Amino acid sequence: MDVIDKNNKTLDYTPLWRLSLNRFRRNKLAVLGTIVLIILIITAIFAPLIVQYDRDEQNLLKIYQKPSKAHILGTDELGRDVFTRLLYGGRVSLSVGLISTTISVVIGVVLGIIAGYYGKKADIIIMRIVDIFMCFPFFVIAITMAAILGPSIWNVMIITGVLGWTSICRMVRAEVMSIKEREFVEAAKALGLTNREIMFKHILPNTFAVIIVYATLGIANGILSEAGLSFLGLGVKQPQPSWGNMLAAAQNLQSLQHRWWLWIPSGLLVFITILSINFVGDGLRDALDPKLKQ
Amino acid sequence: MDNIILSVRRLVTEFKTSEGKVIAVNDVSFDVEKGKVLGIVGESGCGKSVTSLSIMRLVPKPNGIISNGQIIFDNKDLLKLDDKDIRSIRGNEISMIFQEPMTALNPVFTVGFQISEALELHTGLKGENVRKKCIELLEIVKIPRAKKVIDEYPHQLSGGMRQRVMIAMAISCNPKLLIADEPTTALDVTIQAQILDLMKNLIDELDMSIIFITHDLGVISEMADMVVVMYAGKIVEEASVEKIFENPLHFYTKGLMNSRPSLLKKGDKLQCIQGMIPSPFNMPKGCAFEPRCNYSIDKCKVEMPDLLECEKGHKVRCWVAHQKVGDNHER
Repeated sequence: MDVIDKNNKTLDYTPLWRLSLNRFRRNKLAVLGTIVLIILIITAIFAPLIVQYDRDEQNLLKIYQKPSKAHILGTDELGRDVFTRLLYGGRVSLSVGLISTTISVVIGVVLGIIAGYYGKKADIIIMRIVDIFMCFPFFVIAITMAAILGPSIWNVMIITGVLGWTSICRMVRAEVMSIKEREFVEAAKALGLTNREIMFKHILPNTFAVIIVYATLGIANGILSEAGLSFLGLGVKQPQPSWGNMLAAAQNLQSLQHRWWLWIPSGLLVFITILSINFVGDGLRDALDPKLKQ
Repeated sequence: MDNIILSVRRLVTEFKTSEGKVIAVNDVSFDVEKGKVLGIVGESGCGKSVTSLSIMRLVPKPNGIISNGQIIFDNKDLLKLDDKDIRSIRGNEISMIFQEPMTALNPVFTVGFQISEALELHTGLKGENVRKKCIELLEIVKIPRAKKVIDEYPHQLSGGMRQRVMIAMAISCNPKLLIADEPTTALDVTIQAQILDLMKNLIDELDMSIIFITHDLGVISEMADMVVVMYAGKIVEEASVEKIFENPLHFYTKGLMNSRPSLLKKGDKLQCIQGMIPSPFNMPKGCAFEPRCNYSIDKCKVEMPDLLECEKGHKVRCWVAHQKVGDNHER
């Protein structure tokens, strides 16, 4: 960079990240999604500084209170502040989404590239494993595993991560199969690069568009699975709050009919988070793909 | 034989297919001299590209096998090297320019990144120096505003520019041998002329040898010192470029010469060689060109002629040409 600037000050070269940023900014929904997500993440991280109650602080004299100045979103069946628990629940839900997706993307991408690049036996073996995994009904396996491993936040991450890598694996494999036939792969071989360098340095970046879109959808999916498992009592255990088990706690007719503050906020947050993540994923795909002309 | 950089001896490359074995390159031998250009001509599917891939040991595995022969480069038999050693030769001592500049560059990396990759791999240059060298290379291949192009992506460049970038990549480590596999086929004529000019200058400047593969005889006459004509996996004629153009001996070469458009015979239909290359599964017993040859004699049908020297430095694989030489000697 410096070499250029010394010699030619008037150069109007824009680096890639700035180009991408400009393209991302033009997508209004993606920007909106980013802002919402940043707010959610900040409130989750700094929850203790924002709220005045403890996460598990009970007050049996004040159960099922309507939203008021003291309790912005009311209290639950044990008199705990719902708003406080929502923020702490965000920590669980967001980290479950993130970590489970990371697990499934790492497994899926590595196996997908190997299957697509080497083909033959590697492909057959990996794809049959994928088929086997895809045959399992997700919730049945997840419930069984949760029952064996015991309900905890870490087990939820591992279960959703390990069961969710199959579709990304297939997509990456298909991409790699078409990319490896292109001439630049042969050119890379002719330059003396090893198979591993070609796979991970040349082919992998060409599949980023697919991976980014999948990963964002995967995060959303992870949050949903967490909510689902917690709702069934197999995910995050009380008193630790998550959006899913807060919904579960409100599943009786009384609460549904008369105490909206127990279930609407957490349901709405799951909805808004997933929607924002999808918008951001969409924007990222368009912004990061250098193949798309501006 | 000090001036010979690459010597290919009795190279045989086969492909296994579901219908049986296909011999794509059959008993091919040739030499490339230092600082000279060897042209390989032939129609599609005659084994030109497979020959070049064999030299780089890039024949697609596991279906393609180099089943016989030697490829001596710098006193080393390339076919006997292990994977690590051949990788240190690829891109470093022998490099390659591909046919399609549109697809031979990775679309998600900048031009500079792709050139520096080979540099870092083979020369050990780092950081700022790599960048300087990249800009230098882009200037050598006459890319205008090289300092800017280095940070651009392949889609931002035209076909001719991309081919220049490919050449810059190929010459980045000062290779001793450059294999150019139809480097100008995808370009229009004016750009083609510029690229050829550029390559000719590079030969003088960098003192490298080139194997130039093409089906364009005009390009060959411009570029090559020696010419090898291939047909159905075999060399049918080998001579200096002057001899090939002045006095082609093989009827296939003659046919190729006649099917060029000519400025003198305007308005005439272009001549062509009748028929098709024989199916590799069903090669004729005798000369492979016999079914399409108007001058064939009985012997052509039964026996494959050898590649014999008819005049000094002019080898040909044709019974008729051999006979003529024999007659001359008797007289």
